[in-house]
Amino acid sequence: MMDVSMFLQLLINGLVLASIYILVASGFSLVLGVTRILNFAHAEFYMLGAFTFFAMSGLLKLNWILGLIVSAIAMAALGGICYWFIFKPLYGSFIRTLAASMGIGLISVQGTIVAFGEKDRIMFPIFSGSINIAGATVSAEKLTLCAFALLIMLGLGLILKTKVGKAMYAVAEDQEAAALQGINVKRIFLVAMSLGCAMAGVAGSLVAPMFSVNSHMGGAVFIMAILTTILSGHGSMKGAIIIGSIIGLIESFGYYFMGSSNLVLIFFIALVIIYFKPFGLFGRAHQIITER
Amino acid sequence: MKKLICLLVVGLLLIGLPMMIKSPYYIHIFIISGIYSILTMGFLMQLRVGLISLGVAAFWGIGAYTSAILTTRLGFPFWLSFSSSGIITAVMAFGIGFIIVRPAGISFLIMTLALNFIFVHVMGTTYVELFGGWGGITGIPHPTLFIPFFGSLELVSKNSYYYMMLFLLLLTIFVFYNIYHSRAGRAFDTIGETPTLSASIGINVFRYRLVAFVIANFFSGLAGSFYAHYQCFLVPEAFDFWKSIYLQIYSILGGVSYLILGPIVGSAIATIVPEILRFTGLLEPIFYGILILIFVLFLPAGIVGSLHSLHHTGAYAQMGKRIRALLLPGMEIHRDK
Repeated sequence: MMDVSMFLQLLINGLVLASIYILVASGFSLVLGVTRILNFAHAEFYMLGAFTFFAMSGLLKLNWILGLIVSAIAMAALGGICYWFIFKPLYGSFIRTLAASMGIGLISVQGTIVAFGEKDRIMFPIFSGSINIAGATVSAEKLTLCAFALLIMLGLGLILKTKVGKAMYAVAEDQEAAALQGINVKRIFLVAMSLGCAMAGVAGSLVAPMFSVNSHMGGAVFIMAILTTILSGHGSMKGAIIIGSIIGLIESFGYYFMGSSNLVLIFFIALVIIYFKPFGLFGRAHQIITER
Repeated sequence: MKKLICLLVVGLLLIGLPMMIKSPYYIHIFIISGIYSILTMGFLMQLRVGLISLGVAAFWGIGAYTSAILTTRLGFPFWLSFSSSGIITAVMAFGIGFIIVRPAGISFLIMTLALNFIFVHVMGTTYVELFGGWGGITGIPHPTLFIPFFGSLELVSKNSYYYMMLFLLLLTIFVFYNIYHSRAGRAFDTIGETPTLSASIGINVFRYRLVAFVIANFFSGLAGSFYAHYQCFLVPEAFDFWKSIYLQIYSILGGVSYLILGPIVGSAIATIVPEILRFTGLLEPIFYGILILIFVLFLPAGIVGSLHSLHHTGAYAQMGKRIRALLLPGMEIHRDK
């Protein structure tokens, strides 16, 4: 049986994973729900955000808050550019936008390999030091990441409360009706895309000092984040937080008890949830049309 | 008549290809593109009923691993493991599809993608004695062909593999063509256009979708078994989810609405273009990504679709007339009268 310190370690590791998944998943879910684009390159925005942060704070020795802001702004701009020049002309065709986002993903993965090389890049930790909780040492960095994730989710909640956020809800519900109310749908799409990509960039930058940065870091996180999205039902922030935490904790504790089979456990839980709740546990039962 | 002659010429060309191309490297490219076209046809069959599967490579891998384990660990002969790998893949597709086909849409897409990721991870890390870990399974035997009064013959050369691939491809085309031109195929069309309307006219949407999912993955499993015995070794990374994504890209290169010709043309182009782009080295996938963006933005009908629409607008006939007028002045007028 494990002791308290091991339990705390696993818990904090699970929460770190959970906060990454929540950040990536809520950005992904925002883009999917509002613009109806399944942005496959979302994982790549996460990876590019980590690389931007690495370049700013690791190579140029900028202040880490400045690096974070630069990374978020750069990803927002990149997401906006991708939307305006690639996704906007393909409006309405699900499979074509999917393929286009895969093309963007290919270009960005290989672009970072060309620019930074294929080996792992490691940067110095920002917060060195640890905190003692109940006899267990927990690194301050992990706690900071969780706190930051919570802060950003609160910020997203506040943004969704504003006029733009309400417009996003309206567009997600019914694009034509929203357009009839005088909402500029294309502009709301642009804002949602930029916001989602900025969140992915922030998640990547928060992870960069803790884990190594490489061009394939997006894949695993993306799979878990999209699982979070469908299990919670897109469009539900509360659901994303709860399901993301559960998936992160299962991954962390499952690895301790059953090794690499923890992913199989997650997949089976997902199958069971999908069987009983096809549109997720928290989302409204409306389906995104994927037909041609 | 014209169609028959065309088919005959293409068939003779395909059969005679190994005699014309001596280089085993090019034969290898043909075999790989043949395997990819089978997988892409499966992808398109699922797309036809409104299921976007990003887990084709997982079922391909399940077929390959089944065949590899049956022959190396249990000593099955090739033909038995080949057929049983198809059946086992279909059974697994049925089990998983029973749950994930019902919601369809985004849930189906994401669950197949997750399945693909988790399949590679499980093959790489769990039961290393059985699955071989990240190093994979080596020493998969070549298929042996038993001919009466002649004895058994081990198929080793590239040419014999080429003919086997051709047989598998023709089998797939035959089955898929007959499905598309049957009652089930018409039901597929309707479901792909409007699932709600087709449910209202009495088509069991879930059952037809499940049938499409299982049949497509049965052939993916067969292709996987063939791939395992062709390569003679398997690594989990060969089946990662980027392969599934590439398959979708091949289908778009060929043209999504051309269910049989599209995959063949798309995967042939997609396996030949990287060979041309090899000189670019590391930049190759970037060119590939740009190619896809160009296709998606400017040629949404794909290669086959664009050629087809050129044919319909009479651009070919115009070109032919001009060429004939250039080469044989005077003849054209007689024929027009």
